[in-house]
Amino acid sequence: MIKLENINKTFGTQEVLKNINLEVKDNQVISIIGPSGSGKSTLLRCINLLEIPTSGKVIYNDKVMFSHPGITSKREYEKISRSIDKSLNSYREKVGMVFQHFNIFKNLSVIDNITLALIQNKKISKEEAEKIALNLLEKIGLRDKAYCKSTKLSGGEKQRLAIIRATALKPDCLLFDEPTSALDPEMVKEVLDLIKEIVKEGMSAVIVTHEMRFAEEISDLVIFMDKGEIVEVGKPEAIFHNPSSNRLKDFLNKVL
Amino acid sequence: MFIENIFRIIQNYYIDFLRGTWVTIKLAVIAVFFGTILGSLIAVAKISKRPILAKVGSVYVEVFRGIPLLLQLWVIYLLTSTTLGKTAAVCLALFLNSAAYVAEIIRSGIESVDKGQMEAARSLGLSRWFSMRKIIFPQAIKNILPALGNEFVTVIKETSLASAFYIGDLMTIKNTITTSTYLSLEPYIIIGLIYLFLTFTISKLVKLLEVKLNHD
Repeated sequence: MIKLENINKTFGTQEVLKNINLEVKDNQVISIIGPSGSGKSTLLRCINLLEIPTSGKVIYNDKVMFSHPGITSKREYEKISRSIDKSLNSYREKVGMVFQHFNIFKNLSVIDNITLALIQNKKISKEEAEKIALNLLEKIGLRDKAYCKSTKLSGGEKQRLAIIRATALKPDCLLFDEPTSALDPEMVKEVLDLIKEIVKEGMSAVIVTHEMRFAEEISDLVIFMDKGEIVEVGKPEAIFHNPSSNRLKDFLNKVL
Repeated sequence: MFIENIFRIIQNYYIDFLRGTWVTIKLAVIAVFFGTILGSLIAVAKISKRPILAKVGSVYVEVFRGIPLLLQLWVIYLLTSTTLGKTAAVCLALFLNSAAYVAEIIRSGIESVDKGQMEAARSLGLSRWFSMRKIIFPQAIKNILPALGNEFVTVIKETSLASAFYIGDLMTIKNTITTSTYLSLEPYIIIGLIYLFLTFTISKLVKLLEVKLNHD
């Protein structure tokens, strides 16, 4: 469904991603693990092109969303990001994202957080959008807070709202950028449970996470990254119980 | 003697003071109103991803903030007063100048909004401009409104420079009174108190607004 080919990303002189190749298949759940600063989040942001790679190709269902042999200047970068900007809107509807810091729209009520993009993108009426939103809120037990200010929610509630906000658009794939890293420990489970429930309903997901047990349980494929490279790819059993590279062994020793 | 003079002047010229105050308020309102419209456009230009627009925006801000207002008033007055008339020429100069300050207020207001808000909106497939309108601007307003109120206070004081062109603002009244009474200090004191009253009242209103916005 989504293919990344030879992705490179540099910030100034720093190489954050080095020649990354990645394919996300239909209904496949991929976890990306690795030490902080290894480029996991940047890679994730390159998938929906919130971050424009310095070079490489991003393909969605045989449609080339981005392709460039090598951007050399900031000016060129701005020009390219401008020229592909409009074509990305429909792509991003299909490949949603959940952020570490939730990024709930602070000026909108809980329900409007969901209906805003529904009404704008799907061209449906406000009533219809609210019906969809209320059903989704019911699912996460926030129906009675539908018309509250979104800033009044707890961290766990905000993140669950962010997740259903992204799923409301019926994406093919969701990208999770450390979805539980900013949460208090007692709220982690409710968010992880919701993610499990959603991917079970049939959706691809790419999850950057530090929750190793969760990654092992939910993933079809685990990617281990270090220093901007994909070091090891494999089934969860292989990655967590039979690591082949020393770098992965070191990492697992430190976090498990 | 001094106090007596002040009361006598107020008694004889209160209509002129009121008229002058009215002109001053009018000038300030026009300057801030049109300054806000132009300033918003300049702010949007400044944060634009198009290098040329961004450059035009920042050159405008640098020029109008870097040159003394009195000089700007003179240049624009000399260029336009014959075609536009005196008052319109002064208004034009005031709002062109105010726009530069307002642009900076709005730009910093927009930039104070968490970057994640824009990213979240874009990640839902919303366009940049739609996200600006529905998510960023409404949040930026909170930071912009109080600063805009302070800009209004500043502009009220700056309109005093317009007295150089005799367009009937508060400061001009001083000359009227001095010509017929040979008194200078007394009218200055009265005018100063009127300015203080105006700016103090507006500052207080801005404070109230700020508290209300934080409360919401």
